[in-house]
Amino acid sequence: MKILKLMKGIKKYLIAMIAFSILQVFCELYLPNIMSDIVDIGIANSNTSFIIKEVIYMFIITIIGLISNILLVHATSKFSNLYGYKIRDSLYKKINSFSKKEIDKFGASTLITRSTNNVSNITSTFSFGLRLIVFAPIMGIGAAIMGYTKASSLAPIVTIAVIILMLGLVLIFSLVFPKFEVLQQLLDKLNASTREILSGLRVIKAFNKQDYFKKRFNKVNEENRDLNIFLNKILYLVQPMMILIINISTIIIVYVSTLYIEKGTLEIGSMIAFIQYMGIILTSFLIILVIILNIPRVIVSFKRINEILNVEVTIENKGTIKLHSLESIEFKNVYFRYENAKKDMLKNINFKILKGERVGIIGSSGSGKTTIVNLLLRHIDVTSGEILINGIDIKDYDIESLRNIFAYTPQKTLLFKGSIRENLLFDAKYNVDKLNSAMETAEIKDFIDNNKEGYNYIVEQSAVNLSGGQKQRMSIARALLSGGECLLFDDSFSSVDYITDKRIRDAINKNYKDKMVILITQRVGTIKNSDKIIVIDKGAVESIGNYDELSKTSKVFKEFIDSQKKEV
Amino acid sequence: MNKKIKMPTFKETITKTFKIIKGHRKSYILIILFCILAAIFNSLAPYFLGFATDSLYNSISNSLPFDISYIVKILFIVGGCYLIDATCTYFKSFLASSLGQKIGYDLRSKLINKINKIKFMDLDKMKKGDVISKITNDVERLTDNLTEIIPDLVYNFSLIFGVIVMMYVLDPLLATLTITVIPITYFLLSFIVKKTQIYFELNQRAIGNVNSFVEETVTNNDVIKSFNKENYFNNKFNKESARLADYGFKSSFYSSLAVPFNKAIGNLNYIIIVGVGSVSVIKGNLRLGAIQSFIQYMKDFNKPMNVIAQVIANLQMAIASVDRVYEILDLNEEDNGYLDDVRFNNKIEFKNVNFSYEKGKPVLKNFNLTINKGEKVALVGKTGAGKTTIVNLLMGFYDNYDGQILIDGVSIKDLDKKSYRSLISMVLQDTWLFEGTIKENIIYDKKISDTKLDSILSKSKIDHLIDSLPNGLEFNINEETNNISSGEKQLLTIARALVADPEILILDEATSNVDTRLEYLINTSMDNLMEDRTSIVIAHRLSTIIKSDKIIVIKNGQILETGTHKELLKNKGYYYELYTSQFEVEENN
Repeated sequence: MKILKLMKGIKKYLIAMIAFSILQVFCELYLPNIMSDIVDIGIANSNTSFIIKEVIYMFIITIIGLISNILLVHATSKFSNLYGYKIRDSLYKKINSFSKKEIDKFGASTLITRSTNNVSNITSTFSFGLRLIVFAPIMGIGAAIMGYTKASSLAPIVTIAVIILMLGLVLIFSLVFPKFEVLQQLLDKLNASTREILSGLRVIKAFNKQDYFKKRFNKVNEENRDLNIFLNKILYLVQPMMILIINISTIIIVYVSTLYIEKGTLEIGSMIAFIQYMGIILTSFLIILVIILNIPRVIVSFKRINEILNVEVTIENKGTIKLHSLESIEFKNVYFRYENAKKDMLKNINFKILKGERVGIIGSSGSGKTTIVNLLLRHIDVTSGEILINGIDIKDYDIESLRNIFAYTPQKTLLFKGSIRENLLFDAKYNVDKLNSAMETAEIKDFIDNNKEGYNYIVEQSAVNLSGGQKQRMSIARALLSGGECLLFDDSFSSVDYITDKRIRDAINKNYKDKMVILITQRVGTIKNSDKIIVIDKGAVESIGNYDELSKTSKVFKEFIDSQKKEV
Repeated sequence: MNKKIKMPTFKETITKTFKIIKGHRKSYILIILFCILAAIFNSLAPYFLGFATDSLYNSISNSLPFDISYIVKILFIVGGCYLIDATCTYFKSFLASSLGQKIGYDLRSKLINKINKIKFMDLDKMKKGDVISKITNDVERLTDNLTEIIPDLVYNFSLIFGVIVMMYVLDPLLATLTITVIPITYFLLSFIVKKTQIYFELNQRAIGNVNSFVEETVTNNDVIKSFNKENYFNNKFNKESARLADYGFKSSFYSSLAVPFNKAIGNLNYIIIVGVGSVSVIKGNLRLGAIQSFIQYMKDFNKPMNVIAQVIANLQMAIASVDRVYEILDLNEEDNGYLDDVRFNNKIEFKNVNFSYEKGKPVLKNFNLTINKGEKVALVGKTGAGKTTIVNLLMGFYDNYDGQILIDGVSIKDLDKKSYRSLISMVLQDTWLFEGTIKENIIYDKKISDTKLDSILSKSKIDHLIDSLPNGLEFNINEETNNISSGEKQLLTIARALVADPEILILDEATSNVDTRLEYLINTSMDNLMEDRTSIVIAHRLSTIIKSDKIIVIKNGQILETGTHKELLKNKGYYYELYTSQFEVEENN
């Protein structure tokens, strides 16, 4: 399991835990030994000074026990939290490296619960259980050794009791274990259902459907409750059953001892001592049990995390050529089909775009325009055919250098919580002139000027404190600042009014003259002045040409123009 | 970041915890009964077992044969005690956990209910990931712990009580020395609780931050990719995650400190008994057997103390979660009006309305607007002008405005929200669908005849799209709602509004995601559809609103121009500018 390998580097805490546990067990088991000396020697001889000396020994041992116990607790907390930290870190890095395909395959909400809920589950179970699971067996083994030396003839009874216990536990866990996976899925569903309601609250209220969604939520809520109750019904059987088995063995021991004592092969004192050591073995077992009860959950968490860590990312960065400048982009017989889909999303796409060209791609929604963008950015890879940049297949380029070539504005505007500056530049170097000029081009500079905080204005989560148009213009500025050779706009003007739309385009034409520009849109006006317009219809290229040519030859393009004209 | 952490008092949180378990008194009494029974039989068993040892000891010291039948009888009694103990223990644990699950279920229901009722003003301030984590993780933590805390406390306190009684029977001096452990342990525990509570809070908060961060970046993965910023976000995450690890370490370390100290106090107690007891035996004030018994009872006394220490640590976690859950439950609900017989016969009015989401940033300024019944009104203006805000206020999503919004002369604040909102349907800028079939997404749980549904589907021009999907109306939209296109989504939300069949229709950018060809089809059917309705349309595409009765041009939260399309064009004002820029294609031709 990859997740176990993450323990590397923090194993020293594990070793410390074992060492301090042994020290502490020694202290715990040694105290009764001293006590028996006090009784046998001190009291028997009425030797008060011997008693005082032994009491001082006991006191010193207690202090040593306390210190080793504190160090044990410290090492445990350190280990479990550092382990959680390491898991979270590598999990997050892994998820961040996922391509669109993997994200879609898992779904965002399970990725989120796995990297938060499941990890904190491991940490909290470890921080309370790990100390005990190291300590308890050592304590149990220590007591077993002591018990065996006191009365070896009674040992078989304990052995049989332990075997019966183990069998019972195996039976119960094999019954319960598969259900824990289901429990986790229900938790995911609960998460998804909450998210759904939170994001759709306005619509829900507008349609007065609060009750309907409460019902939907409560269905999952109910399933979760019922499964938990079912599991507890079985799991809570374990502890009393176990205590009962061990208590009954105690009774049997007393009975058998009676027979041995009658024969003269056993002392009463040894019997009492044996029962005491069995008590310690019992306690150790109980502690182990409490932890075992938590193990299924942890294993499920382990499995779920491991599943993510083991995913092979389908978009591989195997290319070695660094892409520095852009001369041309060419699609050659490109086909794309989503996994398990019945139809091709893109069919035999062919076109070529040269440096400095302004190209428009127009088509209905769902026609495959965004898929073209995803292919270019290698969020997904072609099913067949080739995409060539400067005549070389894009898979041969180092993916980072490939993506650097594009200044991309996505269809759905996504900003992050943090200052505007961070959103625009991420960690890039801060250059006020560059920043201002990009903001001016994107027609959003006034927002900075009218704001006290300027570029330090904090964008809230989901950018709730910005309007749709503001978000979109910020996103355009962000793309311009990335410095890519090809400006790629995926329907990026939909929330901006027509005046602003035109102003931004004019400014881009002026300020970014030598760059390649690809505009994806549904608005005819937006791409009117393009050097080349590619019309996409139902996943295929319907026609390519400039505005004048297409308005005469392309059926689909004419429909687009007509649908606007008719209303004037 | 620098949010001050208000520490609620221990008493406050206990009150809250009790409020959560309120209404389950009967179950709790039953659980507590089982706890006490289990404790009684648990402490009786060793007492009876002692008789067996006594019998053996007497037989040996008096050189008599063993009374096997007497011993067997005692062993059966002891076995019976253990059996009753085990049964009671099972029922207490099972009942308590079931109750915990029921409470968790109720709490989640309540939380969702609350979310449905709180003010948007408050909701806007909360982080989505944090809210989700409260409803899932915190409730889980709370039920897991509440399940165990009370029975554990009752059981162990009863056990301690029983042991104390037995010890006083044996020797008052040693018993008193043993009991002095209680206040020492208590002070130690309350000291640790006080010290660690803050770290539990910080820890929970850090979890919330990490959750939000993960949520935000996982859903924005392709942007991060496109900008090559994986490392940047990895580093940012690392910082959040390291903070969580730090608080996690501190809260778990400090709270588990109770265990070693508790054990050490127990051992000191043991030493005192052995030391003082032995000296007393030498002086002839104590039987040797009494020490033996004391040591046994000490173990029974110490074990529950350890469990209680653990329970206290769990209680802290539960309390942190109770507080976080109450951050939602304590929010004020939307004010609701008292008039539930809401009708719309005449007009909607905005009178001198001033509104801002954030103090000092006014969105609507002295806004006045009248919409008569049956009118088709178009709101036009740049983004950020305040159009969506008008819709938000009209829907009653925000109540903290100055001035009045009136329906037939009655303030909408006086109206029952549910009845009032049933007058209105809207299609929002962000299309929102949920995991479920297409049919569910359109009609929810409404009963509607197939013929009526068919006519709605054809009116909204979605019938052909649905026919082309596998399983048609039963096609399942996935959790990410990414298995249908954004245009299709928009059409679904239009159909949804049609099913509601409202008096007033609000279309906020309704057509922005539908491509121009589809938009044309929808416009035609929309004309028929709006015929008997009052409609308010917000769109950047002027083509969709040209046929409106009244066009309201808004700039910076105020009305700039009003009139019909022809009138406004004649004026050559702001509207004219907007219009010509959109249709530059045609103008240039």
